[in-house]
Amino acid sequence: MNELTGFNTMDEKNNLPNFVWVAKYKDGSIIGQYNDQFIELSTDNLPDRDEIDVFTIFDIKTGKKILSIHFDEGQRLIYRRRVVLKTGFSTPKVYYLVGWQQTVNGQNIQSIAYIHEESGQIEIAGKFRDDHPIFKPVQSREWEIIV
Amino acid sequence: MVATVIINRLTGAAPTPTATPITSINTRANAYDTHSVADTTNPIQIPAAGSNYSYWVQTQLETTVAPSGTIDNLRWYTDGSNTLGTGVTCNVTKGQYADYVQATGTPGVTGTVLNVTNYPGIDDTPSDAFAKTSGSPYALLGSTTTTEKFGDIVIYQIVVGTTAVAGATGSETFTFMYDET
Repeated sequence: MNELTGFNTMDEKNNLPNFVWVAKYKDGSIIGQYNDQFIELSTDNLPDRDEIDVFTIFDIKTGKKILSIHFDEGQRLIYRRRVVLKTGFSTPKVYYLVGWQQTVNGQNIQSIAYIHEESGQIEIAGKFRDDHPIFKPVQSREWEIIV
Repeated sequence: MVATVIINRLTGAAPTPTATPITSINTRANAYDTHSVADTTNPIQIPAAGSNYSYWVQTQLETTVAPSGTIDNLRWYTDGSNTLGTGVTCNVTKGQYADYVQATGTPGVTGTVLNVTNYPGIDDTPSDAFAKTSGSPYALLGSTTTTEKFGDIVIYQIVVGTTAVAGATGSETFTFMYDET
């Protein structure tokens, strides 16, 4: 199955963000950020999060895989699209936060990849950092345990 | 579609100020309550003593294309470096749209100073905008799942002292940051 289903033309791709995600489940099923009707799904609404096996970021214009996160038992998906919007600049800078968190012996550990959309550069960090311009914490959802 | 978010400048009378998109353009902080890109009328007069002020400038985010999830975790910051010029500073605070107060003052001379007395709804005493950096940004309240103006209004004011030099100040870029799911 083509994991970028529905994105067959450059015109269709040009109206979408540069990077999109696809979640592959342990049973082999796949849910993408956009369905065949270009209706977007938020990661907040992903079902059965504990059953996600691989979460992948694709460059939608090239179809190339940018990053895949393979989950071990107990690891939970963390995903955000972080936007930096400056006055006087029409094009924002976008970073994709993609990673996992896990509770081990009562402690939460995590690993987050920060993908810069424009350059494709990827940086990986552990705990969120309040004093870092990009590694800042997210506002957690009830299914996320953030440290 | 992912969300489309713009930055608006709010001017005019409460309770429904005019929202002018300024995402990709300049907006001037002059001594009157009007958005302009390059208008040099109504400059802030350099005082003989004390300080004069711009009319306070009020900015807020708006979604024109809704997210499929939620936009939250709003932050605001500067580059940390005041390049406005000698004797010129900028103070910032924030407040909620429901508490919006139109900027006032004497056109071409000075705006009314931004403080709790003159703007009762502000959350914090105005402070140096350049202390709000990417490493220590201003945390704003608010989130959205639809198309709307949302989040705290960021309110800033240029402060001109006696040592300021006549003419246009340097320009500054302010940054909003948010997360989307």
